Amino acid sequence: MTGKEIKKKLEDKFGDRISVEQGAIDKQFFILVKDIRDNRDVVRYLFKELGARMNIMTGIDTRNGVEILYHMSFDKYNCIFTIKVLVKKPFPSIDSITDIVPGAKWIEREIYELYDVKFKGHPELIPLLRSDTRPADYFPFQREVKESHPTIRTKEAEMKEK
Amino acid sequence: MAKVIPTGPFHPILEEPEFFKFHVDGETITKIDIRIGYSHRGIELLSEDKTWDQVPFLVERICGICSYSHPYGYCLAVERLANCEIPDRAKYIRAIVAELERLHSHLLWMGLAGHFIGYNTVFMWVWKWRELVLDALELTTGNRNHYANIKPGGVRRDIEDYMIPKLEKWIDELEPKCEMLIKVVMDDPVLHARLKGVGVLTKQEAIDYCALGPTARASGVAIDARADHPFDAYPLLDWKVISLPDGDVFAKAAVRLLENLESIKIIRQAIKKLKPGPIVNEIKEVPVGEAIGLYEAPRGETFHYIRSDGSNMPIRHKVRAPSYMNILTNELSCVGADLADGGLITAAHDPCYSCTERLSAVNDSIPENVLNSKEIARLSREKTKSIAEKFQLESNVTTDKK
Repeated sequence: MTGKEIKKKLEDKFGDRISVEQGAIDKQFFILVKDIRDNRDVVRYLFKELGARMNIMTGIDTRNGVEILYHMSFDKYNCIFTIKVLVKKPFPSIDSITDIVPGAKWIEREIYELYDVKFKGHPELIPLLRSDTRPADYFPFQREVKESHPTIRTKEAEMKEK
Repeated sequence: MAKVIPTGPFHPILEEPEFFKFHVDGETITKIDIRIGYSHRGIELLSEDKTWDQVPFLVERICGICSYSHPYGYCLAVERLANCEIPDRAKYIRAIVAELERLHSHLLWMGLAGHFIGYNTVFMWVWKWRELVLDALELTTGNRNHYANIKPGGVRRDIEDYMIPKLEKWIDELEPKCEMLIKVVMDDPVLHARLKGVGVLTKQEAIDYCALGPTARASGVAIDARADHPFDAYPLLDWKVISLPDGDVFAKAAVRLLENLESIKIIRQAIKKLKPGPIVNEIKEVPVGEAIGLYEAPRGETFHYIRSDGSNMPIRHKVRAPSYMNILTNELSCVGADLADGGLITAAHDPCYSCTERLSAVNDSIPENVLNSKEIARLSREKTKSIAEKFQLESNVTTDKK
């Protein structure tokens, strides 16, 4: 099976609910999931039925909301699929996938800690890395926090200086 | 009644910061709580403030041992995004340094594991041989660690002709020693009794928990980013992925030992294939887009995701080191094991905490009855000793007349 065949399978299975794009090289694909409630279905299909392995999840804070990316790789077929879900702010929340992929326990805790995204159904949603003395409402990767951070220069701040 | 034994915040063997709570019933572990975060330094955030060429120097410092793996994964991602093919000579130089690093990492772990179970001879021999590898790294890259040898588009330092005979001599010297080490470990009845069936991770558990590297390969999941997602010189060289079905500590050690020989094989071929030519293909511009780089570090696959807005810096750079997935498997592999084995099992997949957390923190509440590293190590050594004594008794019945 090649990446393109997996792409076709996904399109047949989910139809209009997703759109699949090819990335910078032919081995990397990006799946845009339109409704955030579909995230579990797509992850389950890739992980359980097609035999993908979950590499990791990434959170990115953008103007529109927090983007959650699920990176799933097919080791037998040499291709990587990234599922993209946009979680709207304020109070971002999304269904947890830990009952499908137990290996996602820590990364969901990390994304919660860095971006304040609540994962509904996570068995133990507590911060992963922060010390006990750090304030509970401080989320370092949030756009607003990053921009106000004294040591990190943002590109916008740099432009203003110029 | 179940009791809780806190261990940490330093690992008893590897002396790295982490905190385990072993829930024990008698001497058997029934549950484990893992607390990390002691060496989180916010490298992902720092990376967004560096230019494309500066990031390799930063990610190199994620881990002292995988200091070639992280920049390698990052460079693969940038090269894919910029659609850049690196020169042939750079491919082989990368393979040589990367495999030397793998040898160095595997030998380091082997020595520490030997030390922990009470085989100090193994520890001293192996670390002596590891010096050969470190010398080779110093010769080829200029540094024993933190090589600063890789950049997007190629490598920064060439392997000169005068280095090759020395490199070959050291590799020739190392090979019989690695073979001898395999024989010593595979034939030792005490090690078999001590490590077989300890800390088993089944194939299905490894798949569910997304285990990586030697941890997965020792459980029968033959994944290796060098073979599955081929890049640079690896598809041009002859080598194989080592995989064993058992999933215990012995299998994890055996996978690493056998991989040493594969690494030596790769280095030999790569040296032969080195042809004169350029070593870098400069990347002028990184276009808008996103890309992923997968590289097989000594401990498993490193994952680098970058997103570019067309400027000279990444707007997001996600790093996932292999230990991040592997440490979580302790939840399963420690259950049912003896407390004396707890330290060994949690170290069997060669965890790297600096990799896993990428803030420093101090835990103010130190529990009173912390079992310190010496205690844990003593328990482990006593267990080996008791097994060895048992064998001694059996074998000495006829020979030992005193």
